[in-house]
Amino acid sequence: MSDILNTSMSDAERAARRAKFKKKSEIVTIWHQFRKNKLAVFGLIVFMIMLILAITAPLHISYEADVVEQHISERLQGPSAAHLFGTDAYGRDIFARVLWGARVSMFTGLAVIVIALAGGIALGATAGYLGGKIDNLIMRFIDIFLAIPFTLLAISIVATLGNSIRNLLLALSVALIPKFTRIIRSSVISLKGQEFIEAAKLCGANGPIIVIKHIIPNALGPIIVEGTLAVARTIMDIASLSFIGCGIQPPNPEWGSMLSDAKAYMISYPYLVYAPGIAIVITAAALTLIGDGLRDALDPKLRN
Amino acid sequence: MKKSLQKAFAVTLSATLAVTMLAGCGGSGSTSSSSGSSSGTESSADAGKTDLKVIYTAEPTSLLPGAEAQSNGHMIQCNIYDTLVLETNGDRTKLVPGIAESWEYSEDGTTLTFTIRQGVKFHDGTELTADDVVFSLKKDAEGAYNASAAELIESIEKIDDTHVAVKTKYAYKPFLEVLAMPSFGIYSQAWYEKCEADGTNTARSENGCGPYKFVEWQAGDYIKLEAFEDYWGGAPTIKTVTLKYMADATTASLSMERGDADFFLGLNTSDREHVAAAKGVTIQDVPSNGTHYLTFQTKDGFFANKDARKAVQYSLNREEIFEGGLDGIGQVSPYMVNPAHFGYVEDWEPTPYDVDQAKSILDGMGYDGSAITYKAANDSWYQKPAQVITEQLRKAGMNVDLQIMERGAWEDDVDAKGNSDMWNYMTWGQFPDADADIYMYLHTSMQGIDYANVGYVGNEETDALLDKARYSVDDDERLELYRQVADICEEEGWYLFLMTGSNAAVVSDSLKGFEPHAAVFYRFNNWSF
Repeated sequence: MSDILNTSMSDAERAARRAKFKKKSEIVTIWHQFRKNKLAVFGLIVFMIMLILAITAPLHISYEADVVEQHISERLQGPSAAHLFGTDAYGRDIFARVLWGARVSMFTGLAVIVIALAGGIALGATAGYLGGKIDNLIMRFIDIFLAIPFTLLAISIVATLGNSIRNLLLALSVALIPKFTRIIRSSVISLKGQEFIEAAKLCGANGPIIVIKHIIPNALGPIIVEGTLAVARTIMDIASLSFIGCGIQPPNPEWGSMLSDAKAYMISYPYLVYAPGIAIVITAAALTLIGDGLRDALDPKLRN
Repeated sequence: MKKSLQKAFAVTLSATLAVTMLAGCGGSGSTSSSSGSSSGTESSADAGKTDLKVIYTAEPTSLLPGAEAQSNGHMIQCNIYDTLVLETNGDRTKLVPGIAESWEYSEDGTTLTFTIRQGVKFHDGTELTADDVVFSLKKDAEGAYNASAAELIESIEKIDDTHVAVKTKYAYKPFLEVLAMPSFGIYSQAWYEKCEADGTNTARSENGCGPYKFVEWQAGDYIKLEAFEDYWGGAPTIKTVTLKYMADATTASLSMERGDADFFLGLNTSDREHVAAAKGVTIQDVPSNGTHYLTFQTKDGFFANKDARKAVQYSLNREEIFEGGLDGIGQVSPYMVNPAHFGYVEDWEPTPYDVDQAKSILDGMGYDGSAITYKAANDSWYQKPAQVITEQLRKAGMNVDLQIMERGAWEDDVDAKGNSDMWNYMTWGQFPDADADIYMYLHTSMQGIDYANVGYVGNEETDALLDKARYSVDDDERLELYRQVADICEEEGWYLFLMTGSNAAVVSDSLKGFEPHAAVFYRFNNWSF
């Protein structure tokens, strides 16, 4: 308080301090809350390790030489010192492929969420803030999409546009947008009637400014939680789509397509399915734990 | 905290479930082989059994002869419909009388006169006449699947009540083999006309004269057949046949190991190891009558340039494609004619494997690394070789964009229309002769016809050679002509023939009378328990 009252500080200095203090305190509160949930912290650590491994993968393995190059004479070898997880039906090192697969899965997973969130925020905020006919129009359109099961919608989009990473991204994003739109719209509607929005309106702020500067930052909580959980689901969906052949094409390593390739050999060479299968489970579980932790941490009712 | 404990429990539980599920699948190999041994001891109890259970992995489309392209469908057709001449159980080279008691060639070899067997009954009890034979042969020849064979036929005529003459446009040596295919099955004219009149689906009903009657077809589930007691060749020993559909070949092979079925066609090469170890069942290998090939769209695109095709020739290591693509089951076979068919020569050598040569050709043509489309069907049979080929071309410096498609979609897009820069598939010689293997793929008259020469290959020179080989009745001359075609085909780089696989069947040890058949025309009346 003394800082604020101190007249020797310039206005700009004061504003900066205030912003810094406020911002820090919020993140710190969330972090304190998040830290109480041991499982969520565990999930975060696991996810960070996977992320670091994925990002640093090109430093110690080469895509050309280790991931896609086939060595037919070394096919179907069990785990050994040279090949930690063994080799697949084309003599490729499974460890290198699973590691590279993490890049593919995480990159696509995150990209899907970014695209879907952008779409969801734009549609949801417009519908929620403007209300009336526009709201009705957007939401009925979204309802049509919601009526189609998520995976089925993604499959039909990929099947129509053709198999490629770009189309897979597009399909999963489009399939996710309706869900995000609904969540964001309901947050916007509940915030719209609050006093600080009234105040902003009285100060002369126009619609877009109110939505971008005042409503969305306050609705970020549910968006972050839903986004984190959706990354986990998306990684599994990418794997499922690739498993049935509607996704990432060989020789690109992807956990789902690796499982699909290994399926035929599963009875005689079970180790082929362990690495990609466990990688999917671990990543999805870690992200789900983080999402759950964030939900609790961001919920003001649970804060003491 | 309590809530997160619950969550922890839920997450651990689901993770454990997922892992045990995977581990459980891994372990099933050993458990099923132990139960397989129990079915082995039961085999004596199976003696005298009269119901046969068969597993198939691809659903046929039609029962009507000439309308079905799939081997599974042919297997069913050859049990429902008899042909004029029949292939013997196991030995494809010997033909025995069927609906025709005997046959005679005219002096110039172009007319075959068949003496129709008397007293043959259709499944509805009516008697077969020469009119039925003429009618069904004419209808069969109109069938989409018979397009290439139908081109040979000049006329089909009834001479009298017991004789039918089939005239070909020229003396075609393997013509009798053509008429032995289930696609030239004989059925009742009255039945067909009645179906046309009242709209009954001929793909789902029948009135043939074969050893088995069609009972029921539950799409995606099963097909049931029943013995025809009045069959002219004697009532079959096996009275009921249930053909069970299973989409997944691995599941099917596990069913065989458990003793749930007696016969399964279409064993995956990757399942051989555990099936071979199981008791009570045996793997019966029969060299496939198809030859795997790699081919190109030569009308336009990257491979319109002959140099590009030559570069691919030098990039291919057939041993590796065979090992990685077919798990080393079958044989490497670079010649265009299937090793089991007439026209095959052993001492023919393909372009040698030489990556450096491929690279210098690509440099010479100024290849800029632009993407080459390679669409492949998703069955492991085609997808696995495609993955190895893609990698070999990548090593040579080609940027191949491999797209794995669902088999049905792939057939419509690529096999029928040639919408890809390159693709791999298999020849499917309907009868064991070089002409059946390659004519439709290489002759320019077949250009642009669905499923035929869709890559627009061939020239006047090969047309002349192919026609000459077709007309010739001299075996040595035909061999030499086909060799010349193969040399030109290799020089032009139209088709790169790779290997032949095995039509492996899993057969219960208690089944008697089974003989491997390359075209899988399995007639169940030859079998018993």
